[in-house]
Amino acid sequence: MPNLKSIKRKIASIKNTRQITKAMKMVAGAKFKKNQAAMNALRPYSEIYGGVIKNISRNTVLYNHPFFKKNSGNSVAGIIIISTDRGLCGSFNMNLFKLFFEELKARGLDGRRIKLYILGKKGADFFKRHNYSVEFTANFSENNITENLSETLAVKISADFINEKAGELYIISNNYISTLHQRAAIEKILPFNSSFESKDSGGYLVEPVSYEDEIIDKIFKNYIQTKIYFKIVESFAGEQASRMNAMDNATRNAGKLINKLTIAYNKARQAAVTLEILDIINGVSALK
Amino acid sequence: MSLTLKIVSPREVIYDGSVDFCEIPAESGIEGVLPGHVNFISNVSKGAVKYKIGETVQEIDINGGFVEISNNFINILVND
Repeated sequence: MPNLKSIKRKIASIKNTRQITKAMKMVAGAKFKKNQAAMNALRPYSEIYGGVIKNISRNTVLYNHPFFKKNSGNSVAGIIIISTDRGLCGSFNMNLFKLFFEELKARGLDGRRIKLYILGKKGADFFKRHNYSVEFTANFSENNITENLSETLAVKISADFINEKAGELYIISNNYISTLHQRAAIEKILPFNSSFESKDSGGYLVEPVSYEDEIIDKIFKNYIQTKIYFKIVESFAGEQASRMNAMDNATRNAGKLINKLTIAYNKARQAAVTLEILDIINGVSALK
Repeated sequence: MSLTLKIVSPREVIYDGSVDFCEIPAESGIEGVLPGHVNFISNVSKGAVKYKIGETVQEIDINGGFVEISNNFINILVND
């Protein structure tokens, strides 16, 4: 017979856990609202910027820019992974790592011929544990201003690309699809895709003409920063959404467990009561 | 034929709609844009973007940034 006292203790402990997961869900929910608003505010800027880059890259005039250069001989791939600082957000980080290994296999990349740029503590820990040499790591909690962090990273990867330390650059992060759904995805950031279509090849008038190269350069470099920045903001929103779901599930599971244990407790108690009554009846009948 | 003007900053969409004429405070002077304008890229200085819909003229103050014009689409990306 299960011990009454131990069941009671278990129920109390699970109730505590449920309280905590419930609170964490609320906290994640509040943070999620904030992060989601930030993401929605930035999205149009990032999308329109992407469209502009696409327009520009259709024009033959600009294809001399180093960002369009295909380093076909350079097999080193740079991969940026945007993970999180904190855990307890379901499979949010694991999905990234899984995708990373899948991509390694699919692209036939050698684990030693990649450069990793990892954002977030969880990712840094994971790749350290798996003995990858990591080129760049940063925690979000130590870099309060995400914009500066994305700038640092953008400058670094642009330099690595131009100096041919990496032939291609990818970014792996979680795309925010809905509150219930985040999907790990890989996206190529460098080199830019150049699709020269004849209808748009009229070129651009760039002003001021005296330093048009710098203007284009700045636009491209800022684009990379904007892209990274947006991915980070998107990942933030996804992280909190994922945590909200994970904590909601945990709370629900705790509730189920409590119900099950309460039934077990009641059964055990009833058994004890029945036994006691039997004892008394036996005692009474023995006296007769 | 009209122009599609989009002004965005990292924080918000400032303007999105079609206009008949637009004046942009480009770095090397105010740039008037009518439909059929040549493809154009320029830095934009802090100042007012004027646009005309029909006969009404409206103004939006913006910070610096850059502008890209192609195929009657004007994209102004404003710095924060």
